[in-house]
Amino acid sequence: MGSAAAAPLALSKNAQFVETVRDKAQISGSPVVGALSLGGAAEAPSPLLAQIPAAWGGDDVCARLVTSDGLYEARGQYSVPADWIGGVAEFDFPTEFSARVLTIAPESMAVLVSRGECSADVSPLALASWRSQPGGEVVLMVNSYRADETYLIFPATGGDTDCIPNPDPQRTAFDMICTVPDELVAAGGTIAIEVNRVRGGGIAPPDAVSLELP
Amino acid sequence: MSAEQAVVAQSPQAPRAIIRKRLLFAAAAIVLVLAALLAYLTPRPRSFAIEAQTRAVALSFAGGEAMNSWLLPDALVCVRHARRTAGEVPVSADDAKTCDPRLYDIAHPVNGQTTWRDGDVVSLARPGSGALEILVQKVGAQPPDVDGTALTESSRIVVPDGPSLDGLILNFAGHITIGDVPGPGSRHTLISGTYEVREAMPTQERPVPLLTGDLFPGDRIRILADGTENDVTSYGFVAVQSGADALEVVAYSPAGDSVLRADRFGAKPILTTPTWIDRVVHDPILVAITTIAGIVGAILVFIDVYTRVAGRIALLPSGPVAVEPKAGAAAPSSGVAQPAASPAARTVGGSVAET
Repeated sequence: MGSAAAAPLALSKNAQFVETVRDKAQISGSPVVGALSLGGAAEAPSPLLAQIPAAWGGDDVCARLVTSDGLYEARGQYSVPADWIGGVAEFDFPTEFSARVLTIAPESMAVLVSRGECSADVSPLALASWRSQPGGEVVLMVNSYRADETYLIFPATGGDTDCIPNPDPQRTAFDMICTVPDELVAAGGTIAIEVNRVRGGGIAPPDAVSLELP
Repeated sequence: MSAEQAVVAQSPQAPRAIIRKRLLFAAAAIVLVLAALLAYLTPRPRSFAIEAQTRAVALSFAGGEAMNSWLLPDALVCVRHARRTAGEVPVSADDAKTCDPRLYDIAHPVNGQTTWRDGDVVSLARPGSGALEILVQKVGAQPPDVDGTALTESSRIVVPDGPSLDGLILNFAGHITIGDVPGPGSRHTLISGTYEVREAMPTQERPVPLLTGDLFPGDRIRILADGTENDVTSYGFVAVQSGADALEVVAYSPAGDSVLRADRFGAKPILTTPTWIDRVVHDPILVAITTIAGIVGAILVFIDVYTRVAGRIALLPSGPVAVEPKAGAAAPSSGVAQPAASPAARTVGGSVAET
């Protein structure tokens, strides 16, 4: 999984890299706010990497970032070259808040890299990395809206896995962290995931996402 | 040599002795102040007492079964079974509203006798329905039970609002987390509360209150071992009342090296612990000693000042000063008897000294 050399990925033409630093958090409605690989410390010039499948060549991808406390958000739309052979892409990240943003820990930054324009649905997802090397533990960062219980179901295998609370006290943007089993990640391809939440003794309707690996 | 002559002869030595005494006194005073400062700078075992009204509280039990036994009358027990398995017990429509039978087996215990063991973690909440909801977040090596019905992780115990909640006291020994940092969907917020820090003083072992304050609504409160993320074992109880929308929590930690931590929305964690100034200001014995020393010092200063002033007044001439007559001039006649002064003598303050 991943490749030795990351290929640079530039912002799409006419697309802007939008950053927002707020005094108060603003929360989106999507339950999954991050799909990341948490590996060792990265040495790449860009803090943002993603494993882009070959099938996405010629398309745009959207990268959405939000910190655990919800105070920093960024969004950028990038163009994948038509001859993309699949692998790790190094995203251009022209932040104006380097001192603040480039010190955020990998597990405190939720990143969603999805296929298509930023106005499109947030699925399918590519596996992103923030300030860490690709190839580590794969996690989904979920905003469960303080559900009593959150878990993932993998329809392909029938397996499920529990999510654990985000240890960050300021768990505004996402309050649960769910680990995707290694064997599913190792198999590659597309992983269908159901995000389930239990609240007040009842089951909330599940949310489906798909994670595409190179 | 007369006594006056002896005083005059010793006078060059007297200031040195006085200065030496004063230096010794000052050195002793400095040593005392430094020792006191060191004593008050050194943290001593302290305990925290918290009283709070909150929508929810989380307890991680650690103190033995006897300290953590509850009676939950009229409770509905929803035992979580494995996902994707059907419930083993038929469920009524009313019960199904409380606990989805796709996830829970539902039981109605007779007594509601519950025993929590070390390592069990639960959260207690009063949501909008007014019912008391207990969610089992984690079970220890030996699962807890209600009237013998074993509880699994994610099981729920629901006591509906009503007379069975009136005056219900749920005692605990363990790690406590009061409230939750507000976030999307959060219902477990702290409403209000107060805290007090007591600490044994260098002058006495009996703990005295050093700090009191209010708990800010929305804070998440924990008592931690100083310098760590580890909770300390607290003791207390949760009081429940029917018709209320909050839980009353009283918790106190035994004397130890602990701090009060508040996690606040949008802010860095706030650690509360007494400083040396709090210790100095709130030590009643030190305050008493300082007050008495201040009064004694003021009296000594007054005496010293009075003596000096009186001495200077005494040095002033009390009568007409004999003016040395100019050579060849006759002494003025004042009509007051004057001592027979030799040319080498003069009247000084009523005494005569040879010059």
